[in-house]
Amino acid sequence: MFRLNLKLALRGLWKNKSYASINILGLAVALCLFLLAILYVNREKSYDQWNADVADTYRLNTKQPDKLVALTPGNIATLSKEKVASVSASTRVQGAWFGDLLVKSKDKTLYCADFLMADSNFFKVFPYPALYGEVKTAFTTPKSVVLSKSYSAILFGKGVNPVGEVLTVDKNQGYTIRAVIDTERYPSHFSFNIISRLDGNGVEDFYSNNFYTYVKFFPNTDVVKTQQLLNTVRKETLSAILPRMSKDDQPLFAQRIATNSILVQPVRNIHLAKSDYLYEFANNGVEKYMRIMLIVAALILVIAAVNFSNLSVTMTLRRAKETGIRKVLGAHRSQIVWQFFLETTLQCFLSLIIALGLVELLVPEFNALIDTNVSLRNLDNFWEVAMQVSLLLLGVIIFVGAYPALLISNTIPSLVLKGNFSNSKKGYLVRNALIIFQFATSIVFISGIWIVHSQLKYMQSKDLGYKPNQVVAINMSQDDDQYFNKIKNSMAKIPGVKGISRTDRIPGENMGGNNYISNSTTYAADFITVDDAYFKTMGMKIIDGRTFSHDTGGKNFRSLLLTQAAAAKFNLKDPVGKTLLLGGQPMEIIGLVQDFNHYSPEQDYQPIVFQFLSGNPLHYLLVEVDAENAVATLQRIEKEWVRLEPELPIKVSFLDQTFEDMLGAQIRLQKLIGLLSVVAVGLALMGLFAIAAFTIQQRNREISIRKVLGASLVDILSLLNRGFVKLVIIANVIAWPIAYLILKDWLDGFAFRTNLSAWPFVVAGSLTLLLTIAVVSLQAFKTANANPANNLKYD
Amino acid sequence: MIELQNIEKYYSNKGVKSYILRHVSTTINEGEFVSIMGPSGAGKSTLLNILGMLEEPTYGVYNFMGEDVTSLNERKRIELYRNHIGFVFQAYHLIDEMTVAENIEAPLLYKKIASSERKSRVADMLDRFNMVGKKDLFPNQLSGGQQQLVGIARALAAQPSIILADEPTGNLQSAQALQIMELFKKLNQEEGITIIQVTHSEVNAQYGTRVLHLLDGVIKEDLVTEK
Repeated sequence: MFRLNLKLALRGLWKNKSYASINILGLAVALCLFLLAILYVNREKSYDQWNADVADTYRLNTKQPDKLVALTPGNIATLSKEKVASVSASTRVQGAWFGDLLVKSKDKTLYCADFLMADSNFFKVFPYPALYGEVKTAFTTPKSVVLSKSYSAILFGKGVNPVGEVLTVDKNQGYTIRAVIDTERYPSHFSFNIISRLDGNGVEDFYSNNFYTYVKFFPNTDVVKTQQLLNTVRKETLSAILPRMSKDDQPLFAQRIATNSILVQPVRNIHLAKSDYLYEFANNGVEKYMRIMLIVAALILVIAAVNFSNLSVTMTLRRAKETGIRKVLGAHRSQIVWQFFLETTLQCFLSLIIALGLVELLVPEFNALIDTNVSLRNLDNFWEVAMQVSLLLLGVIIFVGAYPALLISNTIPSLVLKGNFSNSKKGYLVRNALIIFQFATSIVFISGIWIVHSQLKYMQSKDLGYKPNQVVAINMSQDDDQYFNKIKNSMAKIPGVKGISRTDRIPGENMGGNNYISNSTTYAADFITVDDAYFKTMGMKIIDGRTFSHDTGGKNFRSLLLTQAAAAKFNLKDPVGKTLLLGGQPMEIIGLVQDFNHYSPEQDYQPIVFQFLSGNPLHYLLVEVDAENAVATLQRIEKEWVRLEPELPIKVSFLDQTFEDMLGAQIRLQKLIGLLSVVAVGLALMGLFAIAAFTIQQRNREISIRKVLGASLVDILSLLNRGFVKLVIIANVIAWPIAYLILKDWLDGFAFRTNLSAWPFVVAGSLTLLLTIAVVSLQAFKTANANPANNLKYD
Repeated sequence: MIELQNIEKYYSNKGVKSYILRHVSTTINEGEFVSIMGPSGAGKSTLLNILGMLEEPTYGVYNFMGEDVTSLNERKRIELYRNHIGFVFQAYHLIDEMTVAENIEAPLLYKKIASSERKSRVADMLDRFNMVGKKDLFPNQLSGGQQQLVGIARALAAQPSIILADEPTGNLQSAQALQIMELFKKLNQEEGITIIQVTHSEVNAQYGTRVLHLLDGVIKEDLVTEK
């Protein structure tokens, strides 16, 4: 029986190959997307999970009255290990303070991003499996480094064991490579190309939040109690230190002891959970994206499944006769249900195989598009994935097959055997509802891509308050006036260079923070360290007051400039001329700078204070380049750099490029939604095409009769289109408010946003309507033009 | 074998009853070959459908092999289909996706007959109807008469005690119709299978042993044919 049914299923497929292939291919595309989404979710969920003790590993964060910070002072790690019994190991981790570091191997010199420093206990808390070397002993001696597999491949070539090789890092020689770790296979919420051993114990570092502190608890530790204990220890230790501080610092420090506290965060949550912490490592907090991705992939899968179901319903109605006969021959209803399920299973299985092939084909593009690293090969979790895929297949089969199978098994033999085959109105209500659902989803996607695109355009063309396309930033190796002046003097001679300045931070980078006291209230604000030419070079506008004076007299060090947002935060109406206290010193506000977008326009203007040559080292040389002949000018600048710094390869940041990088997430979203819209609309049209073909085929006779009665081509086309157009209009009515709410919510996440007009909805609506009419008319045209005599013969 | 008492069938439309069958009472014994005749709309097919339990009467009692089957549950009805009733249709109603051999085998599958037994019965039927060479053809590759032969072979394969035939020769040319009627007669006489057929044709009716004349849903005549 099974064999015969299988044979029949195959014959049926072959007989209806065009419809079947629409079914199978459409479902395959959707399954492929869903599988990619599953792989992505698996990947994101696997972060830190390689660590067998991850459940007992925590990060210590600082809770301040107005914000949460992922950092703690350096002594906390040592304190917690020494004074808290439930801590089995603790370690400090620090990012390289200043951007990319220059790394030299035997025969390569490269800038290295993601350079971490960690103390000798790092591998006790994070027991990475090593690819080469051994991590246990990696940090027992000073000047040791551990590389990631991919970075090792860049420096030494693929498959080469570099353990024992020596690197020069940022001009310091003699760093020995102790181990290599496959960080792609063992991902973590922090990423690194190089981890270097951090020296010193940090016991005396109790003031600034400079370190990420990780602790490992013994199993079954009461986390809440331990957190209380950690805070008690912190308070006692810091209170003991308080009398030793200078009198000026004591009030602030006392306040800090009282108001700040340690917050324990499980490491296993860091990668996924939405991050509320300042200085969180990049690329975390992906749970929301993960969820959106799953929902969207599921929506598309449902669209494809609906196609499948709808086509099956339409086709099975045609097979009512066969079912009627089977019943009369003695088939139970369950046997008929099983037979249809077998056919569905066969088709779904074919789809899955095609989908797996597509996944394999598309994985590189997918990884590039959403910046991840999934793969179907060498799965560590093969059985988990196999399980997920089987469940998915089962789910799809039931979803897709249940309704048609039940519908058809309900056939009443006496009706269909009289010749009343397919005029049953049953199933049409559900079918129409499903078509409406598909088109509503497509409309949401189309209006979505429109809005995402126009918001991106809006941000890209927004006046940022500085001139990103005219300024380049070059990393300097030193931070002293003499060095800067030497570079400045020789660069200034290059034709096309309009201005030169220096700073500690370029837009997009996290800034340093300070406390400023205005009218005896303390305000925290970010600051940027600059020189007098900064505002002119960056193209920023000073709307009141002046910049720092050119002669670097001592008065500049007692002066500040504020952005409008900072003035508002400090509650200063006419700030110029007023005085702020910084570290106990009075500082005069000499100018008010027009607000500018330091971060992407997703965020509001930041309150920023400009300090003169103090605060952070000034590592960036800013060069304003004439827009004309910019390329030639840049070449000359590079040439000059080689002459000035033969040892240090030039590292240029184009500010327009760094701005584009800030929009990376939005650009990726645009691409992703664009792709998904095309798939969703394509699938919906494919489904419509098949349904229209079937309906028209069923109405052949009716159309022929109408033609004989004198209906024109237009009459018949409008007759056949009417039903579908009605469905699309209903879909629009449903989709518009939903799309409006989703898109408004999305736009509200941006401080600077484009207007939400009616256009996207109108366009999405008309587009779906036009495509529908086109698809249906294409089908109808053939029938409307056919010779009625052929269809009116007895059948 | 079949006992009908006061069978009525009507459709209510806005309170107006339109009768298809009225006060139909008759008994059909095992081994009879009954033809139901009458003009279009007389209720012939409805009566046959009720006999085949494809439709339920609105009113009345129907005993099939001593069992009241007026409102039988699906499972029991299917049991009767499997073991006792074979259907033959005017439009043949073969399953288009199945070959000749598979069509004949289909009812045996539902009867859960062992594979070897099925094979031999199908081979038997093919042999008997001279269709061995056509066993792998699909219905649309056969002529109407051949299709109807397959239809009868399918009905016989399950070894039913009664065959219900709704205008079995309605779509056939007269030579083919003759062949089918001869076959029915032979089945009735040699194997004792009860046959009930609906027909328009006086000639066909003469092959049977008894004729029921229906007019506007009422049995007008119940005649035994002259031999």
